[in-house]
Amino acid sequence: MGSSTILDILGSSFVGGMLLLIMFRLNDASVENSYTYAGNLIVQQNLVSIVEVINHDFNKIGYCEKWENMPDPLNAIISATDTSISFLTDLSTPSHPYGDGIIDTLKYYSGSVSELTETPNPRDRILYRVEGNSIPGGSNLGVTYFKLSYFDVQGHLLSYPITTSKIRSIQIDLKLEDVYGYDTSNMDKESYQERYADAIWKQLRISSPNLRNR
Amino acid sequence: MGGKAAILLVLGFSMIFLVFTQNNSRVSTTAIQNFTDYYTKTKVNNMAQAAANMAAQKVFKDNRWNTGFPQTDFDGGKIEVTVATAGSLKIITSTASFNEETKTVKVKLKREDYSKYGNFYEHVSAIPATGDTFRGPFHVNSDLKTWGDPVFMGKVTMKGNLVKMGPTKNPDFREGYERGKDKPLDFDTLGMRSFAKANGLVLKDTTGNGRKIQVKLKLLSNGNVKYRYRIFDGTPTWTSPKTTPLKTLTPNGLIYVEHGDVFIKGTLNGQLSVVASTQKHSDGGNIYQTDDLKYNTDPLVDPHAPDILGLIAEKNIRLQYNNNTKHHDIITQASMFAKNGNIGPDNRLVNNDGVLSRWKILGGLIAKDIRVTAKYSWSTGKPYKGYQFVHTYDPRLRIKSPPHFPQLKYEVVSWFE
Repeated sequence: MGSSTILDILGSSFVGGMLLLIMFRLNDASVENSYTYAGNLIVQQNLVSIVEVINHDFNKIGYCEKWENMPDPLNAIISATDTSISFLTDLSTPSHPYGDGIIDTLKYYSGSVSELTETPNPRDRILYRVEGNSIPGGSNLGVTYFKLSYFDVQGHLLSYPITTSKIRSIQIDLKLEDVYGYDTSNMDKESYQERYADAIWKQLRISSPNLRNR
Repeated sequence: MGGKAAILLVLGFSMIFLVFTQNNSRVSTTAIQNFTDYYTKTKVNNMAQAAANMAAQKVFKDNRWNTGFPQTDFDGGKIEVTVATAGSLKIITSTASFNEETKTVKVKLKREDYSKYGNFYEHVSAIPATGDTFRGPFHVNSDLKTWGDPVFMGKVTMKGNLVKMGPTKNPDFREGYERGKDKPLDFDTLGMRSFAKANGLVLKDTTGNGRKIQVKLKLLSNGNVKYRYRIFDGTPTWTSPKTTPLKTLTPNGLIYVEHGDVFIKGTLNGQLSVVASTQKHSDGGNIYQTDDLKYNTDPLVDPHAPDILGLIAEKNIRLQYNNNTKHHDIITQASMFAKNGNIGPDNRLVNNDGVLSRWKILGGLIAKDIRVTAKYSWSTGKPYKGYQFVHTYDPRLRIKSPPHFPQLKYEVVSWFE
């Protein structure tokens, strides 16, 4: 074995090592991209799911299949704060797609961040949707921000405490983040957006037709 | 050997890139699909809403419209609207389809009853002021002027503008207010007469001379009604009183007095509307309350109380000055409609011989204008003689009305989407 052979082995080892490093870096980058894209997709899908449910429910504030059972829809909102709302509606069931004519109570509120300490994202919380007196329950879809603002018939922002009978439209601000993120302990990532994929939805003035008509 | 290795390397990297690219591309496609689905659902929802709104506008403009819209191309999709009648309701069903997504909006409409209102006026000459509280829905077909901070417990609508006056200028609208709502104060007397003729009671000069008639009604708590009348034929004489079950006297609950006045008192056990018309004469068309007028079952105690009364006058509704009314608190439980006049105590009761009493109303007041009920002290701003107005809204009137009570156009009572 001559010195040239040793040089060949060392050279090829160096080149091979470089290629291996490139492969590892490439693998890291692609895994991160996969996580980030998949996280973004999940956040988007969760957001659309939540938004569809919110749209469906909030558009039916004050609705009842038997209209006589809801004599004054303007009193359909029972309580309203910036993070919760409770209102009267008539929920659909498989056997009664337009509602059964019996008034139901529906409450939305955001839980505390301390309820979800098991997830890496320190800001996620559960958005509860509680029908009547049922036990509050929900799944963690990555809601990190849920804020409600209320407006009167002239479009003026109502101040707290809210006179619920004055509410004609509601603004809902919703932000979802990836619950797990990727490489979240990396201190080089300075902002939350770098660690957790997010999506924001702002519904400008959702207004149930049943609050406007009578 | 070196060449083979290079080819293997290139193929290997190509394979790795292909897998990653395909994965990323799948994520991107799914994200786009997610967005498209949301867009489609939002769009089809908007289309169904738009079609329902167009149909509702047709019904608002023409009570009889029930044609609907056949399937039509609309904004890149299709819409279809059907209109059905179910009892007093019209039901609009609007269906929209777009990109294989379908959405249905179902809207129920009902003629709005005047009796729904706690207060309804063509114009308000006595300005609502500090200390006044109005209960139930409130409407005025002109500007609404307020002085100071009156309280309106129900939803307020007006044809004109809100004009705030006084030092504080802070009226409290608990259910908000809306401008630009034109609701004409009118009813079809001929239609009511037809209903009364068909299955109710019409009282008039039966000689065909169209002379004025006066009718006295005493409502009895056992469900009977005692009545008598006289016709102004030169020597008007009261007929001997008759007592009949209300349901027998007027099966559909409507008593129509043609070209005449009505004097009414008692306790109603049942459902009744009394109409006093002028029949295009200069006299008649007034209803006089001669004593307490109340329900057998108090609706504030029993929200499902069956008794309901409507007083409908082409001119005025008055509390009559007599021994049963003067100096006493008076109870009126009814929805009152004075088409061309106003509602209140007669002139002598506004003075009430210097006594201040209370007029306790449970129901609604629908009239051309507000009538003064008492004399007010300039120094205190409080009433000192006459009748202090104590109005309570009967919540049943939101969904229930006296028989054949006048109605407005259709309004939406329930909207499902």
